[in-house]
Amino acid sequence: MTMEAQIKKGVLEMCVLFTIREKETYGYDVMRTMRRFFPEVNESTFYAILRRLHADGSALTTQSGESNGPPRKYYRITEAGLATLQKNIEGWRRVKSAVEEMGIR
Amino acid sequence: MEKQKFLGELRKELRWTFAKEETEDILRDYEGFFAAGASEGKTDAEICADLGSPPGVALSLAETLGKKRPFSRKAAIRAGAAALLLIPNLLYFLLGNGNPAVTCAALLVETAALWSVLGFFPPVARRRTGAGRWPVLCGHLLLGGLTTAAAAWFWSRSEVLALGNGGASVDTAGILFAASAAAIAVFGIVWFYKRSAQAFTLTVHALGAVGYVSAAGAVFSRLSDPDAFNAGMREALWIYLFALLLTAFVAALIRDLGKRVK
Repeated sequence: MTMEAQIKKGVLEMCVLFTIREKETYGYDVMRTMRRFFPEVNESTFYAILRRLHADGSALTTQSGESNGPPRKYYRITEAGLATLQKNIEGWRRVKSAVEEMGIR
Repeated sequence: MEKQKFLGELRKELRWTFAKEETEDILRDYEGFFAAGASEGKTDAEICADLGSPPGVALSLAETLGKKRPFSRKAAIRAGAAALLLIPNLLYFLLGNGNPAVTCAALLVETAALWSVLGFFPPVARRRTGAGRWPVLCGHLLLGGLTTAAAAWFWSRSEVLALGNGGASVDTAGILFAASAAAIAVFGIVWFYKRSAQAFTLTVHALGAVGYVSAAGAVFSRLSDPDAFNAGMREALWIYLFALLLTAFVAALIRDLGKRVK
């Protein structure tokens, strides 16, 4: 991912991937977690990112039947997703160190 | 907003972009979010506020998933029908007719048909971009009024095609022309930086408004004289076609720029 794309889109995607890296997480919980850190961003933005990650093979979903209410979709990171996350984090570090080198902290 | 209303609106929005199965899948997920939110003790209104507006949700999904807003089958049929409607109208304009009322009706049909073909008919544009009802409507009316004056001014001064005199006085119309050009430019630039998809549509609206209203100038300046009236209508058609070409060009340019920025 180029540095420019990294800045514009990659940060939120990186964070979403990070939240599902260890265990299967219900989509709504991912959205709630992300919202805690980015309160000005709609929850639906994170839902859209989750769907994209699923579409491009970075995340798998499993459905659990709820006794009352619609089934819940749990997201889990894939090998490809882990590789993407790793790349995103490296890109983010480059951006961060460049910004800090300028004197912005 | 209540859950059912939210889901109903979301379904309408998603239909424009996603296949049926995908739409249903997304809606099931959102039903789940409402259930999960309710189990945390949140009200429907709070859940809706956190999720965002249905048009915004649909737009966000479309952009994130890299979906263009395609012509659905329904839109394609509508476009075809509209294109057929255009033929008699065009003939009518080109051949001329002595009855102002008939010409007026024809121009209205023409306008609706052309905008349907392009998919920029106001309700459709609103649904696709998620822009609010009032911004779209006000943009239409405001810029429409200004561009009418501009069109009238332009044609009143033009001797190239020798199409007669427009009704607006040159001084007033000249000022309005400058103001409308500035308004269009500001609109386009501001919205371009805010959100390219909306910039695209709003600029299209602003420029396309020439089409809606160029007729109005001609109508008001020539109501008393049927012959002059029809000459004015023909002018309006030329202005309209010119505006459409310009619109298509600018729209393509903005969309292209928007892609590059992303």
